[in-house]
Amino acid sequence: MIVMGVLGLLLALALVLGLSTGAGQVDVAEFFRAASGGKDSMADAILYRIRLPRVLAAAFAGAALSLGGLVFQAILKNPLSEPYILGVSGGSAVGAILGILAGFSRFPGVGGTAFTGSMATLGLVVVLSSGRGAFTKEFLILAGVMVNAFCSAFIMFLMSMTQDNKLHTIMFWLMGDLSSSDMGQFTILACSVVPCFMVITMMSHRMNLMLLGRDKAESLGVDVKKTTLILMIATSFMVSATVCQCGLLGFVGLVIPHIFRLILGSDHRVLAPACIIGGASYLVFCDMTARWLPSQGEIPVGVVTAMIGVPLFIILLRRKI
Amino acid sequence: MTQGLHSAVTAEGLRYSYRGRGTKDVLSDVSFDVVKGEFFVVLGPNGSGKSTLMRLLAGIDKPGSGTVWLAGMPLHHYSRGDRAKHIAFVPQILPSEFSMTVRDLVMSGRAPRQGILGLEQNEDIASVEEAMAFTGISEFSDRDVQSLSGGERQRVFIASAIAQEPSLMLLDEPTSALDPSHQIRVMDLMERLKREKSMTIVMVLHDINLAAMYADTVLVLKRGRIFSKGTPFQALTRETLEAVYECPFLADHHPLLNVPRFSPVPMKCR
Repeated sequence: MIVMGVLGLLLALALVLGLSTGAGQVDVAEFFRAASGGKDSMADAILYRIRLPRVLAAAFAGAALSLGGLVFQAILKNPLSEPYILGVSGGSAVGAILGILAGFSRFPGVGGTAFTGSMATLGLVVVLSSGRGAFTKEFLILAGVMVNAFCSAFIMFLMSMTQDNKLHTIMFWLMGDLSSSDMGQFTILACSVVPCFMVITMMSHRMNLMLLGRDKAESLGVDVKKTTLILMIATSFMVSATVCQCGLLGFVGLVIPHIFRLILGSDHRVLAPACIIGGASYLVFCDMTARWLPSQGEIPVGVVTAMIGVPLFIILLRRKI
Repeated sequence: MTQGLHSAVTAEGLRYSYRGRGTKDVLSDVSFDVVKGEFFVVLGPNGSGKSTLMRLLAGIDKPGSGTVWLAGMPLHHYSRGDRAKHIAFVPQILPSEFSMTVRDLVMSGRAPRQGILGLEQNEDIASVEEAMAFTGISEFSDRDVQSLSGGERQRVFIASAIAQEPSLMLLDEPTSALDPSHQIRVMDLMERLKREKSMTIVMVLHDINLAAMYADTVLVLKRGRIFSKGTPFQALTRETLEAVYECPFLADHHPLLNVPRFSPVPMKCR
């Protein structure tokens, strides 16, 4: 409870800072003036049309990716698991690049092809590992890694055939990009991921029981295969929805679950909400840093997530050992 | 066939084979009856199908043919949740690659009696405290299971099974990784559980002498079939053991208990 309170405050702070940072001359004081109802159409436009959707998209994307990483680390029992491990990244990237090459608009065109690509690879991985593999973690991981490897090769091929102007768009998509969010897109993202948050949180106690091994979980009344499948589909759906709007935001989904597991232990009933709130705060904060640090333009947010997350994680890991 | 009134669990013509590994059965035509409140031990060499039998009795795997009966009803007619209220299972390999307190692990046994989120009620807490006191693990209830020794961890998993409040407890080789004093401690604990809580206990063991000292009934498996069954004196004879384990044995009497005692004979003495 105290932890959730602290995380809630952190999220509120990150949201305010995120809204107060950016290229336009709207700072913290301006933010509070506009938020309390003051009239300034220019500042209002920057705040509500540009920054608010971006900050909210960052919050929901961070939450979905962190929760996705938590779920995959639990069901695959592999510390290197991240939300893209079952082929979501490869499939969506192939879809997105094909969309960009076809000259589609960023949304819904490229988003739609990315989503289709990631759902296709998820289906492929599920089919590959459903027969003899019976959804064992080894089969799932290997199938996911292979599908991702194949997609990577295909991505390189596509990029080698591409002219410069589209290459930049592709690069930004692959690094993760929050800059193009508007309120409509954000609403779609929120409507896609919030039901998944609820499903996964409901399954959090079963994830605890599944830590005890398949046999023990089954003997406690858990349908391990069904639970794994539900978690896999809910997670991949919400991650795909995130990816198709924000590109391949890296590292959030790997490091945030690990950080919370080091601090809070392994009760997923605590970890799931912690990853949702903490992951949201983290990505909002990283996105703010990415916009604030350079004097012109911005750094890709994927660079910031890794540059802050890696040292933070190593410090926590060293203190624990 | 229906099940007798005094039976806790009955195996009727159980057959099992793994998919895609030839047609050889891991278990074939296994039928027996476990009486309510008895200490039932399954013995047999490696690969004789003991663990498979336990998984079928626990309902984790389904038999290829045959039926497991539990309290007068086929096991596959129970829902997962109802089955978990009747049967607790302590697997052979106890996982420990996660951080969890002893109390939380014991609390996991309450899951079949809780809602989907596993929120703790007063009766859950009372049951967990009692199970920890019964198994003597209360003094380290706040420690992380990762920091425990093998014997302590085994008792924590048994406590979790007790907190499940089952009528039947299945244990797959609970003593194999323990030193002799901890082996006796676990076996004494199971005997107390049988005596004080009238729990039915079905246990796989590798140690013939532990089986002889504690079991009411012994079942000996060889290559997936029942080789002998009965009281330790009936089921465990020198001839039986030599045929099942394909190795010479010496037989004598336990000095304190009225049970047989066996020692395998080393090559240099033959």
